[in-house]
Amino acid sequence: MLIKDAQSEASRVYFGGSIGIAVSGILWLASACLATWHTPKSAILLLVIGGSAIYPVTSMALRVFGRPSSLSRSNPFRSLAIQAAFVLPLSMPLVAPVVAYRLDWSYPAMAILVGAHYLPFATLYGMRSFLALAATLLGSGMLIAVYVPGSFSLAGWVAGAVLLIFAVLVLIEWRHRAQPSTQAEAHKPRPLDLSARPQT
Amino acid sequence: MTISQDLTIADAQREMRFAYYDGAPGILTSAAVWLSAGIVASLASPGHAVWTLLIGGALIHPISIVLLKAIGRPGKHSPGNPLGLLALATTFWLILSCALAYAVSLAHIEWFFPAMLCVIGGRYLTFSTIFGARIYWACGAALVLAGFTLLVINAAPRHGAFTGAVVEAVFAMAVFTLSRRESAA
Repeated sequence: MLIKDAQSEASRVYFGGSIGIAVSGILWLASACLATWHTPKSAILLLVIGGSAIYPVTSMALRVFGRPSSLSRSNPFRSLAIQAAFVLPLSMPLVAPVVAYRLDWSYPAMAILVGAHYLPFATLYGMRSFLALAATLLGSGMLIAVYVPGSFSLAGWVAGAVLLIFAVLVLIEWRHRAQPSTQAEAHKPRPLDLSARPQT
Repeated sequence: MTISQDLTIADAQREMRFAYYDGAPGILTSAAVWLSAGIVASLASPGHAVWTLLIGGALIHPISIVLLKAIGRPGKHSPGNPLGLLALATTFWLILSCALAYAVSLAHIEWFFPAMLCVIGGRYLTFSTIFGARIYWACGAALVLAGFTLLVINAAPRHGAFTGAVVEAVFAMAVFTLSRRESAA
């Protein structure tokens, strides 16, 4: 399978990854709400436990939109989608001590990990937006940890907003990339259906 | 991200396998770094072992390139190979995770090596796509399982470091063997 075809199928099935990013963004904002109006502990718990629900919720949303929830078996990037998603829960042991050691670094640490885990998606979908998304989450996480360490909820609000904005930007990039090929397909000369010719 | 129009994933993986000997010299170098950290943890202190792993980790790539060139492999891929970008992306993720792991070591030094085992285990999973080699699923799973087991039993830092060295050395040998078999076929 050509790399471009594998990337094209991945971005078509997952709407360029925008649904997953949007689900993640909503979760971050819900967690930030708890951080602001309830307790930091409940906010972190929601983010960690809810994080494991991102994949099933995204799959459900894809089914609602009439898309298959995974790539075809012939696509070698089928595994990459799973690997890129798995990297995040496996790095959670890094966050637990950070929560215990510096509670105000919890959101920045998670923003850094979530941002870095989006980097392989640039290869999976062949879309540059993921590099910008990773850089924005990493940069905002680091800046807030260093310059606004006293605010617990700020990084949660920022990460949630960044994710929702990029869900839209990724969708725009995907539609922009998908459009020329759709137009080309529409204008492609159709093969003659010789079987439909009247027999003489 | 300019990629050749007619480049297949199989071609890209074949190039990565040849250029980096299926990743085996990198795993072997990493095993040596984990072994060094284990020795330092036993003879000096866990704190010094943490720095040994972090500094040694930064040397894995350059050392493995030297090893690759010594055995006649290029140690680099063509600029249009998107799997190279994927490898770079996972390296960047690893570096950031190391920074967080250092914070982990400040809080609970005995958690550092298990956490690092989980992190590198997760990274090795992506190697199965980069090299098109299923063995990396087993390698990643073995490292993650070892990391979680060591966390649960609250193992001493030196045990975590030696475990990483043993698991990586075993998989380095396995990858070398599979790669040689493939080259001979």
